[in-house]
Amino acid sequence: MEIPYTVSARPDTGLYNAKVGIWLFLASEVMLFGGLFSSYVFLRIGADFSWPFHELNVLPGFINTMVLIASSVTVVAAWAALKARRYGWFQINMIITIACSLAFMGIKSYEYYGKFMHYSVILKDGTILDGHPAHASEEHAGDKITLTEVREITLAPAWSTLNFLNNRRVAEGSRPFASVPEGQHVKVRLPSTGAETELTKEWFKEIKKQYWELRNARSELATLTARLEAPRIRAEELRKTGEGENKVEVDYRRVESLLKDYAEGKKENNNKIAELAQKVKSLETAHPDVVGDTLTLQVVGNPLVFLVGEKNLQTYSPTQIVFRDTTILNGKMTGDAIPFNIDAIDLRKVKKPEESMAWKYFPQLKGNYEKHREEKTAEYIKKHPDHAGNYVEVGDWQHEVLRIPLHEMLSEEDAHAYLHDEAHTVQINRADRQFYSNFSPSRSPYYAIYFLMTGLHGLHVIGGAIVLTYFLVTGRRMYRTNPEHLANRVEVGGLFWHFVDLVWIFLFPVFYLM
Amino acid sequence: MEPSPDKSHGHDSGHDAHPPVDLAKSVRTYLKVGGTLILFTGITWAVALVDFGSHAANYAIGLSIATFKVSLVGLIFMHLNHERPLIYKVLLFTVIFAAAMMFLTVLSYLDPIKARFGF
Amino acid sequence: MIGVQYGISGLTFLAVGFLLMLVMRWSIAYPGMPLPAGLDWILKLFGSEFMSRWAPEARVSGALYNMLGSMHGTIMVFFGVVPLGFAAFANFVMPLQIGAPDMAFPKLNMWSFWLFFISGVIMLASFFLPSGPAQSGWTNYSPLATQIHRNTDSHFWTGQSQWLFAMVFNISASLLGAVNVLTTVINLRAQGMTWMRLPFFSWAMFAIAFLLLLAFPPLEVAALMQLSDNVLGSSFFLPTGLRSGGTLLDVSGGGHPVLFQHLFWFLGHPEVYVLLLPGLAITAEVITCNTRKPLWGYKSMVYAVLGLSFLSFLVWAHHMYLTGMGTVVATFFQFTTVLISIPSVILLTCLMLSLWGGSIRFTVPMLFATAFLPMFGIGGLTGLPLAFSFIDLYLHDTYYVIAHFHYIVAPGVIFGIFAGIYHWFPKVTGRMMGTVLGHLHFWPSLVAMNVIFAPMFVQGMAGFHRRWFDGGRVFEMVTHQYFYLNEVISWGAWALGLAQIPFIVNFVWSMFAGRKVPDNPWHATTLEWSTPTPPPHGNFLTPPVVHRGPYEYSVPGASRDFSPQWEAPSVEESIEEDNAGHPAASMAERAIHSVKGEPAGPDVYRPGMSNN
Repeated sequence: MEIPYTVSARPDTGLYNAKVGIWLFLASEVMLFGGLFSSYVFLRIGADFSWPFHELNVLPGFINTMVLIASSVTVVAAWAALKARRYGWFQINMIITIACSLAFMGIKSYEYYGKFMHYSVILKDGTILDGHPAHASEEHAGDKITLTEVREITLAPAWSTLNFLNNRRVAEGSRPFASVPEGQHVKVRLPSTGAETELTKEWFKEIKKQYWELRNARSELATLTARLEAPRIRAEELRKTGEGENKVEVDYRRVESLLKDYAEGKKENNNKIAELAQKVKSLETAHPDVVGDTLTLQVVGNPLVFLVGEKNLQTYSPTQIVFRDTTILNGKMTGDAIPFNIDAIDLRKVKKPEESMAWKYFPQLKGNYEKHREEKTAEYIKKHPDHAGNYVEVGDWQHEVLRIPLHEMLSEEDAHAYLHDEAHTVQINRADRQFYSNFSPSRSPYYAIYFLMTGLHGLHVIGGAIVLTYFLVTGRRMYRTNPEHLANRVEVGGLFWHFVDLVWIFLFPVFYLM
Repeated sequence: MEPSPDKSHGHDSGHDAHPPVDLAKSVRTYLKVGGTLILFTGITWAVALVDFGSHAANYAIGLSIATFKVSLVGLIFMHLNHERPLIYKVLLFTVIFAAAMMFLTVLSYLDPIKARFGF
Repeated sequence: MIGVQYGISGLTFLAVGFLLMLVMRWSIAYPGMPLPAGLDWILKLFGSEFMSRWAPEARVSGALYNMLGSMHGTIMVFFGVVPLGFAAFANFVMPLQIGAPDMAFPKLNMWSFWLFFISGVIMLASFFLPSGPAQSGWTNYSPLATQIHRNTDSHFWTGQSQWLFAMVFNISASLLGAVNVLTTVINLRAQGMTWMRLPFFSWAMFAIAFLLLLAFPPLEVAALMQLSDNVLGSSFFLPTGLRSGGTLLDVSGGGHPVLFQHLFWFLGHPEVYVLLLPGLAITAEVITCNTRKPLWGYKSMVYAVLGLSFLSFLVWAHHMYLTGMGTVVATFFQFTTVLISIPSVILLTCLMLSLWGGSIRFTVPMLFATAFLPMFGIGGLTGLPLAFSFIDLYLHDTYYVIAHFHYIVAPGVIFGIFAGIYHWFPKVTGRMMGTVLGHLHFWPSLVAMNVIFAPMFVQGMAGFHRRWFDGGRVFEMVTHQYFYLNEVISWGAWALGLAQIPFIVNFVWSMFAGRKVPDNPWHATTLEWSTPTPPPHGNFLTPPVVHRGPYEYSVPGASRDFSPQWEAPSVEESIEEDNAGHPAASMAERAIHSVKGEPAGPDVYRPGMSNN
């Protein structure tokens, strides 16, 4: 028996298999995006930060909406063309659809790129400075720390990976940021023998092997000892239950037999224990570097320089950093401040905006701010006279007055200068910094869900485009043998494509306009 | 989910939910719908810049327009204006569950006891 | 044969999940004592490094206990019972039962199996990571799930992230599988197989597929969000000011841990019914076949299953009474939770009444099926108190809860699945499984299951918490009276492990040397028994035609005590039925069917027989 209803419809349901399948799949997609939209509403209602409002650039989103709508028209036209048996029209429409999907993804990447290049510094008092680090395109932009004069490295063979070496740099005059030439290894002195070796992954693999060999041998010895001790401990426990306030009756015969087991076990395994202890001892002498859980190495030659992103670290102090893989470097920390240019100041979360830390870095802007606030407030009260007394608490007022893109209170040229001139670059200290991030998912739950939803939607666009391309490329042969089957395929692919369009129709107002 | 009575086809005829297509005519319909959608996208943007008194009003208007656009896509492009009962049933339940998920999840913020006694 | 592939991998995962639990039980019964040689081989499966890292001196550490607990739950639920109970049976039995030549999308079917297989490999591979596998329970609640492996070298390769990767694969596989099952039932039923002639088993698979289809996507959302929290540093589920070990985490904050729980349990509760219904459905098939009488209340069971599935989407937050969510929503969920017990009770009652007055054959599958009923009953009834938030405040996360849901999934569902394996084994291999070994499997298992789970109710009401890796030693003042139960339960668990040996032996031995049997050894009525064994490509030699309801046993006037769906009613039967007073109805039915374009003729719908 062959599978029926692959092309023609089953009479009682009126549907062919693939159409049932795609609608069921779309039902699950409705739940997927339903879950995402629910999360959006939940996060937004419960947000304890100022939910970004009208912060995205609308134009790219608007163009993308039109692009997707156009592609929806062409994909349904392609299906109609097949139904009318006009293969040429089908091809043209499909090509336009696929071109639209490429355009959509192009515009999307442009938008994403802009966000990744845009940064925020949140200061300890809640002030947010938007802008970008002075050298955004260079690798030392942002939250990187420079650790110089590293003469000592502590590794933990159980956990370390040596990946920290990727952050090594050579000092070059005042800017110690040139990367190390390929194949140039770090030379270190081993504590046990004083021998010198190069820090390579191969060497470390050997060290790890030795470490686990020794640790497993020790573990084996300890396991055996513990197992032999177990009956004695159990006997003592039992005996103890017969004492004190909660005492119960004790089965002393069981205690006796446990103690007997203990004595016998000990006697029987004496040789085995000695053997294992001997093995541990010989391994310890053979591999003196891995006797402890850590291995401290002295750097031979010039001290090293490291440039590390804060987020790769467990902890750090002015003299020491600890990587996530527990590797410890001792040295001297420099370059802790971020050279930053701003394009906006956000004072909504600051208790007293006039005392914000922003004015410490930009004292010259405080006057502009006060003027801006007065003007905007007057304007706001004129529009909403009922808020005259309590405007400070109103979200809209805060949004209009306390979130200040610089071009709103400065001339265009001045605002431009703050973002691009080195003269306006400030060094933001770690001590003042609460959080630092570009406009990526880590920036806030708003950006997280923006990227998740548009990203998933983008993946759907890519998936749909691949399927449609496949239909276009392989279509001719199927068109000759079974045009109805091809029409069905395109109908099913088209249904998916319309659904993707449909999701975007909601995404556009929700993220760009609300 | 009983078989739907449908007189248009016999037992073994190939399925043809859409009788032979008049290409020009249907493409004209699709273009009209596409144009309407783009027009309403513009309107969505425009009304977002107007203040309707409260954010809630703005959201309601924006979302209504989006819903209207979505129903156009669903009804015309996805042919939901003349689909089989089975598909309506599946979508009905899906929409119920999706709505329940959104509504009940958000409802967990509502707590009159907390609001009254302030903890 | 994808059904068989699912079956074998499901059984393997079931065994793995079971072994992990045996180690946990040692730690609870004898905390701090080194593992005996009989158990430490289980940990050695994951390499000696794993042992040295997490079980130094063969003592189970707290971290290891958490890993084992998390992986036990995850593997049992998502990799053991669902693939075995749903995927395997739905793939093998369901198409045969409805008279379909194959699943509607065979290639997609293969894809979903391999996606599932890959997800299982990814999940097991997380044992070999330096961070160890996930440690935050099978529910993987944030923020613990995000924070616990924060200090590892690569955020991509932590146990927590890998758990999420595996789940994303697993969920995708389930979604594709569900689409396939639904399409098959909707579009590939054989001629004459109307909805009300569908065997109850296939109805249940249909309902389960809907649950999977609509409930899994929100978990996929949750998994992707948590993955983003782990890997990209976002704060979907991390609140403002979150501290770990006294230091402020370097995240923006502003998210909500409760959101994860909502999304998780939106799947989590329907998932409970995904676990339960296969057991129930198999039991229904086995019981009718072995009592030689129709399923009591077939129609009400079908409607109950559909109602149960519908309601199961609206009860999820009864797992969350302790999260501090609002009282309004808690009240709503108490109401729906109590409501959902109605269809469950209908199902159980119908099954029990099906036994009434039957001439029961106590074959091995029937033993398991009969045992399912009281076990499921205990599990279900002890769940009622948990539906109320004021009782749940006290019992939440205690062994009472563990006992409650294990009574449903372990002696309940697993027994149902065993019944299914014994029942359909002859259809897969053409050989019968051994009866003596079957009894050796059943009786010790039944006893051991109860030894394990019954004392847990006592411990739970005494306040024993499910995550105490030392079995409550730290709260000795209040728990010491019940320590002995820790040991009782653990010995029960190990005994249960031994009781599975006859099954494994029986399974392997019968595959090659079992007694050869004909195509319909149980004298059953549903379509799967009409094809040759093993079913050929295309399942049936000729397209099957269905003439009657699924459970026509002991039809008055028939020459045998079973009237298969594929056999047209004989003359005597027709007369008998006319005398019973249905001629008008069958005439009307005939007329309706001819309008609907279905072949009129002998395959008329007979309301009198299958539905009582």
